[in-house]
Amino acid sequence: MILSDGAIGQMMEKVELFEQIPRKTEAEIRAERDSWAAMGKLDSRERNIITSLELQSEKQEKHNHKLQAKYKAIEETEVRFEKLSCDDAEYLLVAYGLSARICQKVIEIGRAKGHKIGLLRPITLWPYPTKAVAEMASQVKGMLSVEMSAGQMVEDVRLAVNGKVAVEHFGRFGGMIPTPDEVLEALEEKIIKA
Amino acid sequence: MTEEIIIAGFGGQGVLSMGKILAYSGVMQGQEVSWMPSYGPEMRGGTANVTVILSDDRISSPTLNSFDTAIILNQQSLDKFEETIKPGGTLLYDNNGINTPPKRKDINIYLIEGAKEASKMKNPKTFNMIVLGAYLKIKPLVKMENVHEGLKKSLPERHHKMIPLNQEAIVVGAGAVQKIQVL
Amino acid sequence: MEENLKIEDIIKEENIVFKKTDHLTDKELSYCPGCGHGVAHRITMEVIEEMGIREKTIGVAPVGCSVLAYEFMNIDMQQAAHGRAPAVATGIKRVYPEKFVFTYQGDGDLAAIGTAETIHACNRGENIVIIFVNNGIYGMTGGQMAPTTLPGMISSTSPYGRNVETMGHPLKITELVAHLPGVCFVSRQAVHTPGNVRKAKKAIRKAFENQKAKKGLSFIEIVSNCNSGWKMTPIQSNEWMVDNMFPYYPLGEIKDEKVK
Repeated sequence: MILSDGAIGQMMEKVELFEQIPRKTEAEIRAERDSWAAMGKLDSRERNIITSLELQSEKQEKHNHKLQAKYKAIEETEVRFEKLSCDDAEYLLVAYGLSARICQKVIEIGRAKGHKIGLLRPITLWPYPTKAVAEMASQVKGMLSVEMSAGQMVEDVRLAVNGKVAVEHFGRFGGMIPTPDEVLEALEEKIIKA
Repeated sequence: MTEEIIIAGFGGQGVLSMGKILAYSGVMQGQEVSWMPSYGPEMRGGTANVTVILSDDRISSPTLNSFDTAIILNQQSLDKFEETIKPGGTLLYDNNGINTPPKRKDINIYLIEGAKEASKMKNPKTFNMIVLGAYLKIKPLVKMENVHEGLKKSLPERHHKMIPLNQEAIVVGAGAVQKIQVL
Repeated sequence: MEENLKIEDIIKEENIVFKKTDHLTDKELSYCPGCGHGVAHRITMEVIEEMGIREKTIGVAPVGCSVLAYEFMNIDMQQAAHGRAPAVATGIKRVYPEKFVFTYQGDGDLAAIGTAETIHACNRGENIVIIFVNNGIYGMTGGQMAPTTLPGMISSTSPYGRNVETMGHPLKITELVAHLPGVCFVSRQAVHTPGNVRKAKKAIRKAFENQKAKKGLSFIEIVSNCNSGWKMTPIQSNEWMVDNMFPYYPLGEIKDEKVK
């Protein structure tokens, strides 16, 4: 599932476009995926069925185990995130989407005031960068989850931090966009001063 | 160099397209740019504003609460955005329909009688380019040749015949800008 | 016939006049005895065999009684979420425009939870085949009222008969999609007699030929029975279908656009 940001639909910036990748030929696709993909049954092989449904509970459980193993592999290999100004950070902002861009400004104005602020931006919300957040918990004094909601990700941050440092939430919603100043203010009030 | 600008006025005044042409001009100059509009559902009337950022470095937030420059084209926008200009920043405004002029003492203030100049040019659509010309006179951040390229990029080809008129309007604006308060 | 003809003589290769297509698996059908699904499966697979297109055919299975259609159809298949088969088929067809893609759906799938997907796939004129088996009821879950249930018809959730004043009218989705310009061929058939089976197969063949000719969406409704859900014997249910379903869902060709 790809979650996008309403801001992207409105704003314009420079973007990098990659070279178009030519479509694979039928033979290339067959060579790669004929063992499992539904793309037309050849006489030389059994039919391929894409489904996650089994009516027999024993078989369904077995299939669920297979899926769980797959999810685990995804959790281990597909986590994506970005860290900004984290090397010397004493306070960490955690944010995604437009909030993460706003937080970059918060780092600029916060560091100008002497606060060593960093940002961890999850690129994948599942699998969540739990390890990366946990590692930062042993470096920083506190974290602020900045979201355009009443707090959806803050629980993931708290789970990753597991009580090691304070984790607070700051959010605006109903279409209001947090300003860099008020995010910095919230960080100062809820984390730095506390 | 980073220049954070808010352009605000009524919908239909060309607020968003002025910002777009400025942003494209920045792209042509090799700068990092961001264009973030905010407007109501209507195509004409209502209020419209756009945050444009030109920078030599990676741009952080595309939405801001304080600006280096505010280009203000109606009273509501002046009331809303005068306070958001950074101390030492710049305000450029059109006085058409302004009853309460700006009060800040810690910013540079310039006036462009854009509506008046546009009616002198007998084409109200040149209004926003007159204002852009005034802005570029105060802050020549992009070269005129890049503005020309920006115009070409942001206008659909069927409107390219209007480019000379737009360039003329930029020159008119540059000549008509008035200093009200310079620190 | 000769007096002493033995069974071995009868099943000699040269005497065989009918054989189950190998495009059906050998798995025993899980449908109730007397259900129309078995025949509908068979004629669909026979069409694919006769056209020689199995290597290029992908079927999309629905949710409902025919949720396990891929257990019986010996072709590559993809499962879809309830009602979303036309959307999934759209995706497959757009990735593989040269392949044959069809959905096989019941009325609870196609005309209830999947109405939006059905109508929009039809309206976009996706070059796919939709096979719609309509028995006027939710068969798999125990005979509940569906959008297609007839006025006055008794079901487990309309025990006094469907009252159209409070429960609405049966949805003639087939007539509905026939109005859409993206749909090139609409036909309503049945599979309760040999004659009807032949006509239904002909319609399905035509639908796949349309896809080959890139004419747009072909929509085949098969009016069927549900003797378990209707609480009847197979024969009674077929008679009831003829007397009650056919007047409301009349058989025949509804739309045939020669050129797109």
